[in-house]
Amino acid sequence: MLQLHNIHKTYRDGTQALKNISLQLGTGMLGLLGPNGAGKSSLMRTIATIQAPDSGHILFEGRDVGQEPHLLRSRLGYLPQHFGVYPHISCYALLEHLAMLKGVKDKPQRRRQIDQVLALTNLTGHATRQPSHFSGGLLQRFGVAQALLGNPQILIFDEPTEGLDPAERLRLHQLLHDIAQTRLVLFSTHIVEDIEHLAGHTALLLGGAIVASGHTRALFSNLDGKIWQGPPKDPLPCNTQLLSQRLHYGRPVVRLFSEQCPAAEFEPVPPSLQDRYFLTLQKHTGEIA
Amino acid sequence: MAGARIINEVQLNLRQPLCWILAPLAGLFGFFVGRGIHVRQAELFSDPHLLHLVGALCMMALPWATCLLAGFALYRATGHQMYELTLATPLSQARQQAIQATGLCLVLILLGILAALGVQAGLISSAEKLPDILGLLIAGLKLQGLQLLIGIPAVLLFVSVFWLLRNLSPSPLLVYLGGLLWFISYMLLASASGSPLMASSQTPTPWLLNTMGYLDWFGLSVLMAKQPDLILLGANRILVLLAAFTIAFTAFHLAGRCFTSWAKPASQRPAQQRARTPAVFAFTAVKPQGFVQFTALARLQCAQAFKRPMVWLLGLVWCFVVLGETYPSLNQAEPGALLAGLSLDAINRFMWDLVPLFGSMLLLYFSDWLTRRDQRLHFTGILHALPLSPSAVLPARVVSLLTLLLAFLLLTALASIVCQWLKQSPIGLGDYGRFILYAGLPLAALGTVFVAIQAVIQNRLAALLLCFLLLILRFTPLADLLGLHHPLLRPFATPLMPADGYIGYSANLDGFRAFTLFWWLLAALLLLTAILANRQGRKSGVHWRNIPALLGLAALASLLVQQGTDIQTGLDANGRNLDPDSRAAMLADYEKGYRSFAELPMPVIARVNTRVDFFPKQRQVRVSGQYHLENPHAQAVRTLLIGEYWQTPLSHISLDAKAELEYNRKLGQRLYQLATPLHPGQSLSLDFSLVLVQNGYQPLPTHKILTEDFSYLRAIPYFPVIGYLPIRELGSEDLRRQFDLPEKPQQSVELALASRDKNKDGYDWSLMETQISTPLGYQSFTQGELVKSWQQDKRQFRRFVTQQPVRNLQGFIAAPLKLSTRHLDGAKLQVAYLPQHQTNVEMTLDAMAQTVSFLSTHIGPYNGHTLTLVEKPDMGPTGYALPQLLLIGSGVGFRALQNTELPYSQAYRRAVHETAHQWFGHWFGNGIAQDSAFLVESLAKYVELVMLERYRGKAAMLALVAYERARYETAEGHNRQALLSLVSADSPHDQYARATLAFARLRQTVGDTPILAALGELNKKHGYPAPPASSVDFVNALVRQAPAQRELIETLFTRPVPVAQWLSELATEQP
Repeated sequence: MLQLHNIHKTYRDGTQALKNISLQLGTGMLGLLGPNGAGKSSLMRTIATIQAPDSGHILFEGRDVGQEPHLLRSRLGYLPQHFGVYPHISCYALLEHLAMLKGVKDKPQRRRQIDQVLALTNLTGHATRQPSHFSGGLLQRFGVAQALLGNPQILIFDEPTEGLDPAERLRLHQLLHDIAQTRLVLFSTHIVEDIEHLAGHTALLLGGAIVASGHTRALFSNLDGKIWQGPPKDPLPCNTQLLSQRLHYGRPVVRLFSEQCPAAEFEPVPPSLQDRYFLTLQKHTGEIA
Repeated sequence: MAGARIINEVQLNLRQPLCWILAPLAGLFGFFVGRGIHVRQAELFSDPHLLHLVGALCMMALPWATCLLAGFALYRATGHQMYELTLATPLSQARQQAIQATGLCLVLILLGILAALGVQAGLISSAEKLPDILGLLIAGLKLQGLQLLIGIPAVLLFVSVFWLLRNLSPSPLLVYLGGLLWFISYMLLASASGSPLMASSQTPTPWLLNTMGYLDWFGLSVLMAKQPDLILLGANRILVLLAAFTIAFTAFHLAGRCFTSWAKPASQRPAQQRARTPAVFAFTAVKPQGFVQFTALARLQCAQAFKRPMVWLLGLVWCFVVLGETYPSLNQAEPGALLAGLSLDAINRFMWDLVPLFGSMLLLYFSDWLTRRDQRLHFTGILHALPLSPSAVLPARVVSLLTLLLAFLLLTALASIVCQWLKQSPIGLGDYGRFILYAGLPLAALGTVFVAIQAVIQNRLAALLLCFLLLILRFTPLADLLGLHHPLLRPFATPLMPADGYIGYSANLDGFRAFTLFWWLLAALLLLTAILANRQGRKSGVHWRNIPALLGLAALASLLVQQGTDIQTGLDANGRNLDPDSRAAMLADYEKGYRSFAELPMPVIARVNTRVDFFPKQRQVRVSGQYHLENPHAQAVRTLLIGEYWQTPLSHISLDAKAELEYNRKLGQRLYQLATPLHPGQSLSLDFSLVLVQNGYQPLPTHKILTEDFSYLRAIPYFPVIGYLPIRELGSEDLRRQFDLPEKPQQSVELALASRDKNKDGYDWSLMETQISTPLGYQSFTQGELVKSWQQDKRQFRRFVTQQPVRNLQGFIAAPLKLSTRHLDGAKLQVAYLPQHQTNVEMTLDAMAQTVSFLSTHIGPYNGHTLTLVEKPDMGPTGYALPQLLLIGSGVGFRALQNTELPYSQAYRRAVHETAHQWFGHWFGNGIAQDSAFLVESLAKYVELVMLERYRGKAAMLALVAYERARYETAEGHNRQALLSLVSADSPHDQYARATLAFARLRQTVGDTPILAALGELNKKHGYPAPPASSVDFVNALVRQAPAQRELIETLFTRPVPVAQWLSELATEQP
């Protein structure tokens, strides 16, 4: 459905946001993972044709969207990481305005769509309120709702669960899962577990480049039997790599990568995408250093 | 610590792009002010001139600079969503704001210093001879000192007020609005109080003068007085500072208000929990349509705009501005004269300055708001991912902006209609419709260009500055200062002039249409370019594949060029145009090339036969004429110099004598070397013809008005002239030096008259025979008696003949007017007027008859058999007198009625004045080149006094004296020119107001008998064909008639004595 070939993007201050990005995307969900400044939002903005790449092509159904961005935009639902809303207008009216801009010109159909997206995002009870008065979580749900309007074949969500309470987060997960059955959903988040559970495919970005991509499970399946968890030790046992240190029921624990058990206190744990993420991060940061 | 914080604040301000831009702008602005306000070279570095420059600089620039910087500095935290961060610091909000305000003051003072340096640079660049280093240093210190004296209290006051406004509203719009209102109100107050910085002929009320003395925040009302009162100045500065600190104190205490009280608290409802089914997505295909998007965008933008409380507040304030401007003066023609104000009178109060200025600023503000709104609200992320057609977005913004403009104009009209209703004035809705159209169309084009500029230039500051530059070129003299004189270089200006109740807008409507079309083509071109250049998400900048749009662009560009060419052709059809610099150069060349001909004898025009054919609908007049030239000198004439008007060359000219011709086309001069000299007493004929048109592409000149409802042409300057004309010589010392012309001796009129060559004195009088043709239904008027009237080929012909020579200053009028006639001792007096303006006709005839009768009895008979007074449109002077033909403005002469303010009618007084010119101007006076206008204007003022007392009572005469006294004292209060005698004085307030006071004073002592006797003596000695009289001849005759009052007469007329020395002796009230 969507093909990215050798996408490069450098901002005016010299920041190289995207380096030689190539991807082939079809129906389903792709999660984008990476630290701050990795290029996730830049990639999403480029795919959404909000900014043009310096070089490379994005093909949508075989056509270059660099020359015809409206081709993609008419089939796109996009939720940016940060956004605002117009004041003095109700949630319903603003959705209606956006629906008209997207091309839903038939009034009954428009109303049906709006009612549907309001229901899907649990905003029906807030339809008459002004989104400029919404809390962060409500506003985020509004953002999701507007992205669902029209006939989006591609949905791009930049940090869609930001600000949502746990119940709404789960609700959104289910929604994204349902959508991804017939559409391409591209989303980014800092919550690695969300990607691990939701995304069939994951791309790991670092410094503007994709350093790892593929089936989500496959990205860390080769870590089976190599991830160990135990109490913090200083110094670390030999031939181990510290992946993360966290608190577990209030007690600090560390996760290590090691081909074999590093110490008696350590026990093997199933690998996770986060382990893979930290491992890759350290490898590339070490290379950069 | 406070000092460090203030320094930090100043440094933060100085880092901002706005400051980087304002700093050089301040210097540049000062430079142009320093260069732009003209004065003689000798006065360039004088104290009054320096004060004038600094005053103008502060008045024009300080409010704007302050409100621009205040909008940024005081709203910095809220504007960049850092308010909560700044709230969570140890320093209280009040202290933070105090530091911001202090930093702002310091930056403004710094900008003021830069501007004063710019002024000095401007002065240095205009100086032909620089003072020495010490002189320059002193001038610089004086400029800085004045800048600080005038600027610091004003800066403190402005900043404190804006600080207070900042704590009253979260929107910086209140500050910008405050700045604009402050600027406008000072202009109005300065004008009303007679400030020399504002051109105004109003007589200020004493209470306003006193109030401005104390409260003028620049202190200019005191500083620019002839003798500044230092105590009053000190009081003024202290009062302004006190006000500033009081307001700052209030603002300080209001600073603790929490801004979150303005925002409604967000509330949440618990999420509804229910069992969910998988999401169903089964939408049908959609196809975005440009038109639907366009209407949706436009509708939402308009709704959003009108929902803003600030827009309603702005509208309300604007209504009050219009009411304040219109209500007091709607029914006022002039002091002492009431008008039955019409809608056009109301509209004229705001259509030509307030609406364009305020409307342009509103368009700038709202175009910026519409353009940056999505960015400001962080909505661009969503919007840019939508399939929006570029051809929907920008046109939607334009439509929204134009809707706001329409609302603004409708509101203006509504406020004015309310004024009219309150004043019980008849409301003409058609006039308001025309106002909306004529004011709105150019503004709409301007707004469209603003939208296009802001769409193309991503940087907000750069875009706003470019838009602001357009406004500066439009509304300030900067274009002239930069030498950009062509009307198309004044952005979005049109030649449309204020309409009057006579000819409406017809004079310049064709020009308005042409110019407006040009601006609209430009706007459309720029808008289309902006649409094509929209590169959101695209790799390439322009939609090169959009062939229809590119073709449209090419078509618009070619139409624009074509329209520009048509306008130039239209301008050229009215006549050759020269900018002021080229005109000065041309006059210098004329003097250098032809000055020597002033010494050669030239024939005089003994008789003029003219045929004038008016075509009012086509706005054309065709003239063919014949001069019968005679040699009145004792020597032969061998060379004939004939000049034509450089702007409208003659179509044909021929001499009925053999001569070698040398024609200077550029200067319009023909030099005929006669094969056979013209001996004394001999004559020859000169035939000429010309066609004049007026298409309304330029403002109408005073003496050529060709419209369907009123046509008027004065022979001078369009007819050929004989010989060298000293009146064309450059008068400015600086220009004469610039063009290497000899210096003109600076001497009084008395000395100039005494040292003149009397052989060159002479009247330029002729017999005249004129045939005028007009369409049927039109009256026509010129010098002479109407001897024959007939119709032919569906046109009306009339022939006029003068029985005796009259001053050769012909005028021709054609208009569909009604006539009212009265006969008086063989003379026919007539008034031509619009049928609906009948009220003052009989009184006007009374004024004419009484004046003719009185002056015929006491001086000499009227030089003619017909005297016609014609109602003219309200453009140019309110009254004007040609020989045997008077023109008086429709408003003041025919619509105005006497009110209770003065015990006499201004219309009566004006008719007397213009009738008196038949003696003073067209019998006496205008015969000696070195003479002043004393014998013409000042004697006419004397006649006013006499006639008012004689026919309206002494109280009326004394009321005129009191009125002229107030006018004189106001003008003289700011006059810094060297004192001259009344006979030598050339300023209007001397020639009219001072003259009235002088004659009133004289009459008080000697009565009218010696004055009239002196005039009678003058008539005997200098009446045509005797040599002409001078002003000094009259004064000498007066002394002969009242020798005991010689001292008084010389004090009043021929000595440079301050009026204050004798003014207290003048009675202005009846005992």
